[in-house]
Amino acid sequence: MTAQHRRVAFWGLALVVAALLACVLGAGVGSTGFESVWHVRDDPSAWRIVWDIRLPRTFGAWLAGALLGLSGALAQGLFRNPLADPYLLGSASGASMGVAFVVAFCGASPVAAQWLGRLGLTGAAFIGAACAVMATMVLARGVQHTLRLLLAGVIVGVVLSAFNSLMMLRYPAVMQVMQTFILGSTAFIGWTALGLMAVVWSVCALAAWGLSRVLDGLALGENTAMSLGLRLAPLRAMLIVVLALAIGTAVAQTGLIAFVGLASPHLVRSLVKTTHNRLIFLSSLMGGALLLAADLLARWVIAPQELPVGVLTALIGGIYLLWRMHAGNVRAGGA
Amino acid sequence: MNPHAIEARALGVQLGGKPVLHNIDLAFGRGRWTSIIGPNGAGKSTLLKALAGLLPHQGEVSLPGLPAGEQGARAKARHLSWLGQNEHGADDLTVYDIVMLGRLPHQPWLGAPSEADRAAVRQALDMTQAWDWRERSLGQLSGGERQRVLLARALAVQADVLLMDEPLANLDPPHQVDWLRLVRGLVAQGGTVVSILHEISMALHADDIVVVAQGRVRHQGRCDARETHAAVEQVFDGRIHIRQVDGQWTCLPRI
Repeated sequence: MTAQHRRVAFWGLALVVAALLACVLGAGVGSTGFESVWHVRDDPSAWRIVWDIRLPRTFGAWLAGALLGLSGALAQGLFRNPLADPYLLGSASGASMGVAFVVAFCGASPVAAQWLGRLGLTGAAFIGAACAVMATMVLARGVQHTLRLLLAGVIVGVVLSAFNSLMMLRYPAVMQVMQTFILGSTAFIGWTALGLMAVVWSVCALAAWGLSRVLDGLALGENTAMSLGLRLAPLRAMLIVVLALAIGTAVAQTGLIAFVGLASPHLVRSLVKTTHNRLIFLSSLMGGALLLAADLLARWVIAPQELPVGVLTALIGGIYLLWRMHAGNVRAGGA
Repeated sequence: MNPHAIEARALGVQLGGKPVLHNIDLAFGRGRWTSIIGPNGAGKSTLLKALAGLLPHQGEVSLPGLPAGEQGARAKARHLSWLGQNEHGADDLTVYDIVMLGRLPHQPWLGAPSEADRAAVRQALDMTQAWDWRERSLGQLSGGERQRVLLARALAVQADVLLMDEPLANLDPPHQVDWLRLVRGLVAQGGTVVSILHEISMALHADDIVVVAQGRVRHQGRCDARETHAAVEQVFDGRIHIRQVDGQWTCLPRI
């Protein structure tokens, strides 16, 4: 076992242990504190608080973070840019658009309850994210050109954000829902959402691992990757599908949570230099640990009230990136 | 057996709608080292990329040495290795991992590296004297060290044909000499090397030279032939001349 493998194993284990400890804390942090945990056997309301609210929220925060971390590693490898954000393909604005659309056009109509019941805001967010990614791919005329993809993603993001703003102006009812969505929250994750995220994470992690060699090859440039026998167009399309599925699912369940996807691969790379098959898993573990820690902090810092977790991650992530920038470690890699 | 390792027929390339290469017919001898020479913007790198199949092109590029039963991108990648100009990125990968990427065409998609892969990586790193840095990341290396690692990556493929665009970039004179010896060794073992070199004096150590200007091949011939020297001097507007110094052909500026 090389020194690199030992470091990967150490940090992988450390992140798993950190997540487990945070999960234990997650079961206890809330307005009633650990009291509910101690009385979980004899008090039905304590059981409901721990089982129905705190546990799915805690595990869900980890899974959403893991999806964001995985997406971040994929996006940065795919775009060959350490500053690439998983929301780059327009998925964030697309998800917001989906939510705004459902609230604006279904919220007030008689059939709204049925539609909302079936589809839900999370489903709308997912469909919005998927449509935005597809629009990006259509605008970029495929996935052959990284720069074109990036530009198309930025264009789709900006245009959909403008539409979102217009929707909020036209339909004030949208504003409140959108605010919760944009600020990001893990408070609404239930066992069903948790199960969905677990399935998607398993599928995406497995697919990303299988495609990790493409990202390693791409690290040396598209020409070198092609010269190594990698058929970039279909492989890149597969990576984008995995990225869209992971980010769409996370955004649909938690809203827009900033910086976790961007910062997780950065943090991992500052700890250990390794190939993408390990980087993807470590970034996923790092993302889970980060979002779970941020969620605990959001629940604890002004308890019994709580902060929107997206605000906290944006604040901490911004400070972290600023520090990295001044430490001279953020490389302006070309796309 | 076909004496050529690569053949190009009526090769043409357009970039951004503008023709860059025009109707090129070329054949590169098996077990020989060919240098491509030409002024800036002549289309040398485009020609090399087209030969490697990295650009859409008109005409045909064939690898006569590729067995009939082994077609497809991976088979071709095992047969032809490419080292590009100014490859950047991958700063977070270790030297060992980067050189192991050269073994991708030999490995099953989800398989771990085999003993043969590890031996090839070791050999390539030894050939470029980079073994001692194997656990360092590429970002920690100087320009010359990085170039040697990237060369090792191309060597690790163990392909019959090696295409290199400016492989001497950032190398100091002793390591340029090491590179010359390495290429001579590969050719002596039956390998075929095609390189683009801006150092004309270094390029004149090859077996053959292809002179390119304005997207066309102006001359192809042996390095020691007078006609080749005349063609090289002509494409550089007569501002250089080629003379023999200590038994070696050398390019001197005409001041």
